[in-house]
Amino acid sequence: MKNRTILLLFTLLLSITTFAQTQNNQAESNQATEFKFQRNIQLKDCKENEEITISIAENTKEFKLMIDTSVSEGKVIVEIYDSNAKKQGVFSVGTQLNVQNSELAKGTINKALLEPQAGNWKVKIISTKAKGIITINTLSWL
Amino acid sequence: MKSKSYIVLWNFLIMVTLNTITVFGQNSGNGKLNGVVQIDTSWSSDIYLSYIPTFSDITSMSSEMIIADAKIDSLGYFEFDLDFLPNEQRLYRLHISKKEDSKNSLIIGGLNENYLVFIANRDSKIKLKGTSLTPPFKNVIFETQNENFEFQKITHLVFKKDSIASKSGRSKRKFIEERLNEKLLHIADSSTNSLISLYALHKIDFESNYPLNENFYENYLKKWSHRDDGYSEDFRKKLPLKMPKYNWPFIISLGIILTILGYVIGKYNLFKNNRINNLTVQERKVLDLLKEGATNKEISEEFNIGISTVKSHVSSILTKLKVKSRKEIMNLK
Repeated sequence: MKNRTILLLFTLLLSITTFAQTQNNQAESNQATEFKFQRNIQLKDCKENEEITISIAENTKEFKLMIDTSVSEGKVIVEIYDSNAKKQGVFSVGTQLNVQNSELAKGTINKALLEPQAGNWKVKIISTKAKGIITINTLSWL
Repeated sequence: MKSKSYIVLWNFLIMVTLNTITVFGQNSGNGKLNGVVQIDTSWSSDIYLSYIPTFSDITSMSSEMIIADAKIDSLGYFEFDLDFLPNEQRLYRLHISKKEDSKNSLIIGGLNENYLVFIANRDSKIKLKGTSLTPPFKNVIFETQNENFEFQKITHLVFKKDSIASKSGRSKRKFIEERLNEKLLHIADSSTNSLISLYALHKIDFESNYPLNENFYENYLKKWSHRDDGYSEDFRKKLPLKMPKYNWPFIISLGIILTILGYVIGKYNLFKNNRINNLTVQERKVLDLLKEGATNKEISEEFNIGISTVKSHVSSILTKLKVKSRKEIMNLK
């Protein structure tokens, strides 16, 4: 009777362990692959027009884009185009000309999409005597 | 008699004063913007009013755009006087900034979107209420009935579309965009306020929508052709109008005819030049003087030859050039 109870307990323990392991493996296989991209552009070194390419792979499930622009002098226009050259967003930040101790001007754009258009997305930076920094952050999940 | 004069003068003064008050009241405007927004402690308690000169500037940020600022109290209340604004309706933007950011900060999209665009003039009485914490200007209700009701309808539609689109797959997103564009085109077409109408088109992204609805845009331009403000001008400038239709068969035929004509004229001149080439050296010298209108005697004296020789040269020149008179020679180039 005692042996039977031990065997039953052992079998139960084994079943629980096996089940837990299977669940863990399943969860691991369901996890999406995450890709991060970050690029900092110093605007004093920036050419008048600069183009940054962001590649989005086929079957990307989710895509997030954040562009942060901070300008202490001049003006900068940031345009976002998808792989079909369709404009997905635009903003500009600038400071007053000939003003001493002018404050910083900041612009941030956030975009989040499920199943984005695969291909090369472009971020166009059009700078007019601008000094500052642009940070482009992307996150995508396959 | 004296007291009667005083009464007339008194009445006159009262009338002048009343008129002045009325005129001053009409011209100065008494517009006001007040409202309540829900903000958490990460936001600064300053709120800024900016002038937006074109629709493209809705997402532009510069300190020169800011025309007024106010404080948001602990209950989220703020107030602006609008009596310094122009009489015409124009676009304005309210924005707030994060505590760590400069006042010239614009956040587009996401939970921290920090601005609201609306229409106003110096007489506008605008009362608004923000009902969302994140983002603070997401669901703003305009409590006074004016053009901003319709204007915000567009903002809400776009917010809703962006929100659904960010959670939808590519195919569904396309349908959502098409449906939204239909609604926006309807607003643009039916609105009697040009700013609302243009705002709807701006949100459609008219530059890429134009090829799909050319007729609509052409009729739209005709309908609003009388508007000459900066917003309409900017729209007209950016609309990628199609090249006018040319009658290509007519242009090609005309080209061929002109080419043939040019060839014929060229050939005629060539013949004339060839005829001149038939003249002798002496005859060419005589010809040059004939072109200047010289008489036989003058030619004779110039070349030191007899009049009869001159006559003989002239006769030969007329024959070789196939012209009838000295006058025709003078017209030769």
